[in-house]
Amino acid sequence: MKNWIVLIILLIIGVESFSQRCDNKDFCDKSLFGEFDFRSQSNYAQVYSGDTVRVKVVVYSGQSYRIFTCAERKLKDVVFRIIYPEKRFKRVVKEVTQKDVPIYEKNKNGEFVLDENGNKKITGTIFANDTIWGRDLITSESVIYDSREAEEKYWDSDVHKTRLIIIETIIPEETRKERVGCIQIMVGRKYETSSQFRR
Amino acid sequence: MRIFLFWITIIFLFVACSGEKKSDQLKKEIQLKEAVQKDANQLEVSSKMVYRVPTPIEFYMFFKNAGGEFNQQKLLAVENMNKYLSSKEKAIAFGMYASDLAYSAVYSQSQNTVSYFETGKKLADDLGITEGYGEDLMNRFKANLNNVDSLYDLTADSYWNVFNYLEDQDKTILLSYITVAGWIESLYQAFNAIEKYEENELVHCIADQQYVVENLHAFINEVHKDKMQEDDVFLMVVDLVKAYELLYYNDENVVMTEEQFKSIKEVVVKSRNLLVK
Repeated sequence: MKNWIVLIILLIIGVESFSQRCDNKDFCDKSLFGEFDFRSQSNYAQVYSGDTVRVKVVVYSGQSYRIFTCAERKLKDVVFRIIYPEKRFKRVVKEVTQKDVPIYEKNKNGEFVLDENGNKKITGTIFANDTIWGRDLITSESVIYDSREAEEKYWDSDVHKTRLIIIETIIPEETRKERVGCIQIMVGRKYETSSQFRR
Repeated sequence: MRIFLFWITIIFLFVACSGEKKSDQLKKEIQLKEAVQKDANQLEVSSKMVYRVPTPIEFYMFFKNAGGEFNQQKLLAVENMNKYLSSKEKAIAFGMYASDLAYSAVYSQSQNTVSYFETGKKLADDLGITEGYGEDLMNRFKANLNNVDSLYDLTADSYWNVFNYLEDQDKTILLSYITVAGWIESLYQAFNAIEKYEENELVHCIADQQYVVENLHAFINEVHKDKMQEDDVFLMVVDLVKAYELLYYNDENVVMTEEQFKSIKEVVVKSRNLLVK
């Protein structure tokens, strides 16, 4: 009976070991999870050495977030960065046109002189530049966390203003042999009450 | 017994050998992928952007924290579930009911939560979604009718399991319809719960969805570029992007004007009315 059970277990393990779903794998350090709910914007991927994966997520104001990346052991030295993408509009000259602009007569008090119809009296014209302004979209990125330099293996933040952030995960190149494996990019929001806490 | 053990051993060896064959096959796939990667598109293959948007439950938590209240009036009627016939319509319905489920769970409306979960389960069965809405989860729902925290947790689990399942199965079109419909429904319920425009946290919450719509649009454009300008559901996202874009031109101290609020609300209501049967 014991041999029978052992064989069944080995059979199941044999089949399961060829599963490729990265979300089902359990290789992250449990101590990283804290009291955060990761069931919203986390991402799982099968990657190769030399890959860079960027995940763009939304973080809401008034919420606390924790973000980290973990990788299967066979993928060595995987690092991640948190990047703030910025978008701003810059006032630029779109077009400059030249046109005739009328010159109106003024009296000694600086008031416009009117003709018999009540319209301002034109004494001549001048050639002037008419500037049409527009806005150009300027985008930039700034790195606010780098796992290679940080003390903690995760990025924690209390968000004061809703924004987009980019989580960039870098899998180093391998000189000897290309490796393939799973990474898990975990984006967690702090639970409202401790009773909601669950891994 | 010995004969039985013998056959068990044979079966195990057979599986192990086919596993080895799978391993060889995987190696060949990796080699092929290497060959593909090393061509001119290497930059695209080795560095890519993935877009994510908050789930309905995360949205409603944000909305609740901003002071939003629960409004039952405009929730979807569960009895209309049978009006959605094609796979596309069922996926849209699933997304919308999932949003109402999340809304109910966040505001601890137990009966609604169970009712919407049951509806979601029937649609999930029709769509062939085998994870996230199993009998086990259904039984856990029924066993926790009075435990609002458990209902919240089970709701979060169900949507997340479905999302990961569809992504793993590469059913991106179903996933896209579910996500878009769910988000439009969430936005609709949020607008519906705000009586009138006021410069407050609730309006900020609505305005902040400009980042969600930006990511959603980028996701669909990445995955369904050929359908972007043809599919009626994806075109709703395009309309919302245009409506929200105006917010970028506001002065720094202006989050959303009343005019912009009304204009975006109009697009949301119109889109939702087109989705509902």
